[in-house]
Amino acid sequence: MTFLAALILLSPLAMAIALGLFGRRLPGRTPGFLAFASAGVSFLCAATFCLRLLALPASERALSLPLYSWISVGSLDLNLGILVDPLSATWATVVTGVGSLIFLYSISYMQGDSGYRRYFTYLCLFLFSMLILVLGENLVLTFLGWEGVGLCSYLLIGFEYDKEQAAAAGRKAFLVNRIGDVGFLLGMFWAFWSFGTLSHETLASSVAGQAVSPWLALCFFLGAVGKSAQAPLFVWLPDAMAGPTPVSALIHAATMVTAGVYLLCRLSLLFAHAGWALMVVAIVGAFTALLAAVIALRQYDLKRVLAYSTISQLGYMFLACGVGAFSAAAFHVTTHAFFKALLFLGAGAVIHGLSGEQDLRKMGGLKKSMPRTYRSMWFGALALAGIPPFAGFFSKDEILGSAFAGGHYVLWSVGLVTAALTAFYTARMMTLCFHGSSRLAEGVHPHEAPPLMGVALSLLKWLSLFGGLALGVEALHFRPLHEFLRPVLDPAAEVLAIEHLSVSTMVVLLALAAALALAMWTLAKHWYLGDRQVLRRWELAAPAVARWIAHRFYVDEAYHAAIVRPLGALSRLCRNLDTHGVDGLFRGCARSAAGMGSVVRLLQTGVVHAYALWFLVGVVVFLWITVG
Amino acid sequence: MVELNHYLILSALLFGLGLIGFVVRRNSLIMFMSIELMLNAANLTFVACARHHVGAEGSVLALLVIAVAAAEVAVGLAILLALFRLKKTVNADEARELRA
Repeated sequence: MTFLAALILLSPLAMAIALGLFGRRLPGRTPGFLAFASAGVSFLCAATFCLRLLALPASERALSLPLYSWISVGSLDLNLGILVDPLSATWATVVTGVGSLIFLYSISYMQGDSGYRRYFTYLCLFLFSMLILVLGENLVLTFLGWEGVGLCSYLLIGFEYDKEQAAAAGRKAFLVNRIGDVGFLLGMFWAFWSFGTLSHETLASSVAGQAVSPWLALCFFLGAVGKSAQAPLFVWLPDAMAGPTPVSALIHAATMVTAGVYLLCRLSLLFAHAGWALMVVAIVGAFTALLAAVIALRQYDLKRVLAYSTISQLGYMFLACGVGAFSAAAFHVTTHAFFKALLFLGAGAVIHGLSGEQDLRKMGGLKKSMPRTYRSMWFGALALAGIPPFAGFFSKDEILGSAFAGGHYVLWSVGLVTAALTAFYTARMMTLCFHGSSRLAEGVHPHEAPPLMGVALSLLKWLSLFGGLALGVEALHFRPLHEFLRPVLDPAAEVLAIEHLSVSTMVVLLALAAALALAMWTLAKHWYLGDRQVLRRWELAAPAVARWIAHRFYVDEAYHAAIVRPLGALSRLCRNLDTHGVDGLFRGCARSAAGMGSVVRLLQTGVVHAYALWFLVGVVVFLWITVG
Repeated sequence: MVELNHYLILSALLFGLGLIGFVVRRNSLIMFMSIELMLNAANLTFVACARHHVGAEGSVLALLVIAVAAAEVAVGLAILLALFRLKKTVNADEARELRA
């Protein structure tokens, strides 16, 4: 049992070490296939654990497997151990499952890249870190994985490090994430100080029935905000698209960015006892969802549209956590991993087929030349837009339903507006990319993706279609994922006394959301297929609004002016103080010593008589003073 | 009657002669001899004072100076020889390589 659990982690770690240190001689695509095999082994082990947990009675579904005592100082007793419970098993299965498909896709996508082996080394290291984050049995191990995925994210965003833009994006992601990490660290110190433990299991039991300071919860929330790109720390995610597209799919859409949601779910009991902290989570989530969806309306970079939609969907997950529907958040994480990975991989196939073109204005009419990619992308887009019966519909509307049931009508309406906007920008993206007339640049000949990429796409396609139906349909009381997660997430729901909607209300809400999504979808398709007169009239009606949206509300510029520029000025000042002030002082000392030396040096003529004369003078002066 | 002062004056004259010879002459051999002259002027003072005060310390010091001078001659002449081999001259001003 312990061995099997350790194998989940060790398989990608061993492959990362092997590829990184000894993989130089491997020919062609071998590193890719080896990495895929290690991810596959990891997935099989994780899935086995899910099945084993299912076989256990609900109250015993938590296996803590200590490997050895790691740190033992005073009252701090940390084990290097693995905690397999429904929550971590679900996450590990999604991470390794979607991860394996993306590894498979990368084998073909990265072919011919000079950094092929390096790419797969980083990817394996990322998978290992993510699994440590999810499976670690205490907060310190989670933090270890948290930092590990941050590092791998940095390395992979800056994968093409000779491009200034990619290197800068990597740096930005790393630095912005540090702000969140400070929150995580502070939260960890505070939690240890008040509860005397960092282990997830004992923490949950010692929190129960106690009032927790909301600020403690907000410290952890700050960490989650940084990692999951919520307002105001979302600026790094759109820039992170400078990395290779499969990396965007794996790290910046399907897995790493959901680590914040994982943390909230893992600490759900702590948040449930923390008073108004959950309200902050919900408001930040809803605000981010709306903001990112609005920005996505006017982006022309295919990957950036998807990046903003990721931020928006993560906002939904935070909203779900904030209204106490932690299992709905976990559900949305799962379905989002399917359809967003699919969309990114499809976008990668498009970019691959157009030899690197990412601008939606230079696409159009691709459905004829790339039929398979086109079909796959449609599945993903419909799931993202929340059109039934695709996966996103069920999970997103469960979140909206939970907000409605909790009496948070403002948050619910923000969520509903965001859902409408989501349908609109998704349809806009699909229309600009695949429909209409071709606007391709001269000499670009689109071609269909190679077969390995196609396999990954079609598997994710079916997951995006059936993922929602298979994992939970609330209105029918068919909720296997929620039942599975119950032992971990129910205590928090009980504390919060979550309300449930009647089936009739639920059906009305579902119908409303579906109708709205379909209407917006049709509208966007109609507007962007035609001569766009309507759009132009809208833009002329409110040019300032249009400009603000196109410039992403000037958030990046504001940060640049408020933080980056003053910091740059300060560091330049410090550098000048150092080179001219401190260095000048020491150089002055050296120079004055040398100057004195050059004066005294004149006395040493090398002529013996001169020395004798000086000697004589010295003796005379000496005698004069002593005797005279 | 020859008094102590006469010895001291003679000794001072000899010392001055040696000093002037060392500073003025350029030939290292002569400079060397001038040093000997100064040493012996000091010796004369020691011995004269020993005689005047009726004690042995001055004579002992004079003997010590003679021993040191002998050693110094051995070293000094060796240096002179080496200098001559190197420069084909004993002129002290020619050897100023230690100039800064």
